[in-house]
Amino acid sequence: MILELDMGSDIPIYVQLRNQIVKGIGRGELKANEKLPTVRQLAADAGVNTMTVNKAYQILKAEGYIRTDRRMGAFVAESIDMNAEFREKLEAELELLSAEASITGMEKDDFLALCDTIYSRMNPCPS
Amino acid sequence: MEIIMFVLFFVQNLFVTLIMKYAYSSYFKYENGMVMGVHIPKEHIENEEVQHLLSSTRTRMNRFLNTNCFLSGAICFLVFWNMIIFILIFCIWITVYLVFIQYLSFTAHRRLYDLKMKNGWIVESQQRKVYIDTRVSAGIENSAIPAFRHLLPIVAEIGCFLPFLWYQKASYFPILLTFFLCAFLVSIILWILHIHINHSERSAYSTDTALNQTIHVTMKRYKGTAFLLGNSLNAAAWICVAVSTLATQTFSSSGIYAYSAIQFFSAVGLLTPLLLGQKRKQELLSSDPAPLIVDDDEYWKTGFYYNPSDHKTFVPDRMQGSNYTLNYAKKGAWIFSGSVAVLTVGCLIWAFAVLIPFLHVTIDMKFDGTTLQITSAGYSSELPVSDIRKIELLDELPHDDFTKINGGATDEYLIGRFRGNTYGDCNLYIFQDAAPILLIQTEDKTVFINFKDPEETRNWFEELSTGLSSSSLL
Repeated sequence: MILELDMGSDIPIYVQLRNQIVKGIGRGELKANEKLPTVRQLAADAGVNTMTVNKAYQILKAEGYIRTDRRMGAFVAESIDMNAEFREKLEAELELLSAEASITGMEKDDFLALCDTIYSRMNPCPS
Repeated sequence: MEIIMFVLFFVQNLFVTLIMKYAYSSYFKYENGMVMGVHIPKEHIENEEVQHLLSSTRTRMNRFLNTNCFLSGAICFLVFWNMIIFILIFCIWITVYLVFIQYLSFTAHRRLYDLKMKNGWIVESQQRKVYIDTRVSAGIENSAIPAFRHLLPIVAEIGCFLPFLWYQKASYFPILLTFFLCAFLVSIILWILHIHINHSERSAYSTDTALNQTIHVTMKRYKGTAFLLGNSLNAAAWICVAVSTLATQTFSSSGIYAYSAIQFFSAVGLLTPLLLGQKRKQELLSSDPAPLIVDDDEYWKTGFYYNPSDHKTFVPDRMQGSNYTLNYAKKGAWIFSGSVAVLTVGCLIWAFAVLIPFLHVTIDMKFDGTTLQITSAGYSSELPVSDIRKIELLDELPHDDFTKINGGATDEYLIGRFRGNTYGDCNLYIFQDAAPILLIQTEDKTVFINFKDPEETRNWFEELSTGLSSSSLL
């Protein structure tokens, strides 16, 4: 997949990397067990410090999206299970999005239709 | 000698000017959203001001390139008049040529950039973006030509040099060592470039991952082939010289001819795959319906790359696709450029300082009562009279296969330090068309000297012989 980083954005690079990889897994552009660039490779290609990439990878690993091997590098996880902690986090983010949508006057049906359209694009792939 | 120099420089100059002409032929084409190194949105490329700037720059550039194609060959004929003047004019010409071509391209680039900024032709979504193709970055399809294959020609080069360690006192050794070091240095540089290409080139050109991988595999193969071919032929040129010198125990002009011819093919072998690869890359990119465009013109606005956010020192040159340039936001770039500039200017100044005295060669000898002082074209010898062991008047220079170590050697004169097979290291101050020749030897120095007027040579012989006989030193 193509990772797109906006170097002028207020969003930290490690957050952009994390979000892009998660979206890539969700859309099926990154398949289960697919090899990811090493920290050094990705940092060199992105033009950022290795600590930035390392932080993104650590977050992804903690969230269960990727696994790392000391010799082989990073891989997309085989399967990612919903756990209680993840569900809580998802609820919190949805609550924020819902609040923003309702404050700006979006109707509930429109919001749900938008969620449906975006969710339909997701197609996480097995290896 | 003149013919060799003429052919070498003529071919080299033609090479340089034709390559420059080819390199700048794509400078005016609208490719990958850019023209003359500036990103211009497609809808504005037909703008009148843009077209006028492109047309006038193209005309000026073509005129400059064509004039210098002609000049590059014309100045070589100076070799037949005066070698020194030719070398000095060549140094001036190549310096002015390289500086002016940069000036032409940079000023045009800046005018187009200013036009873009004045009109606000900026696509916000293309600014300050970095794209990474994860499959390319992870090196999933890595079928580059292995760089370790350079070891074979490098080991062969070293192997062909080792026997000469037993011939260090031979007259040809200094020049042979120079040839070996040049060939070895070229091999090492090409090997390092190959390693770098295999590991570092991972740009994302398109949203199509398969296309990105195809481009990278293709370019790595073309570049790897270029470096291997160039290195192999470079090694072959040196090996040819080494084998012929080892067999004949002389460094002959036929060896130089063979070396030059093979090095010509080495240059062709290096450049041809690079140019073909670049062409193939453009073909692949032009078929891409969804190219990834990053508008980073602000970092290139001076013509030099300056990006404090980019940690790389060496980056692909936007002006010349297959070349590399420096990120001048990095201290290392200034150190590197500064060192190269100092070295180049230093060499030019040194060349002028060494060569100008050879424009009009005179040989002067003075005797102050205790020491004989000889000077010519910046070279000198001091011989304390008390150290002189032998003085002889020779009809001609001994046939000792003198090889120049340092100085000037033409059909007209031999001035400087030379090495002969029998006489070893000695100083020559000789006009080749004059006789006789005075040989002066001390315990550790040997000097051959003559003057254009044979009587002057004989007078010195008489004076020195008489003076030394009376002091009972001979």
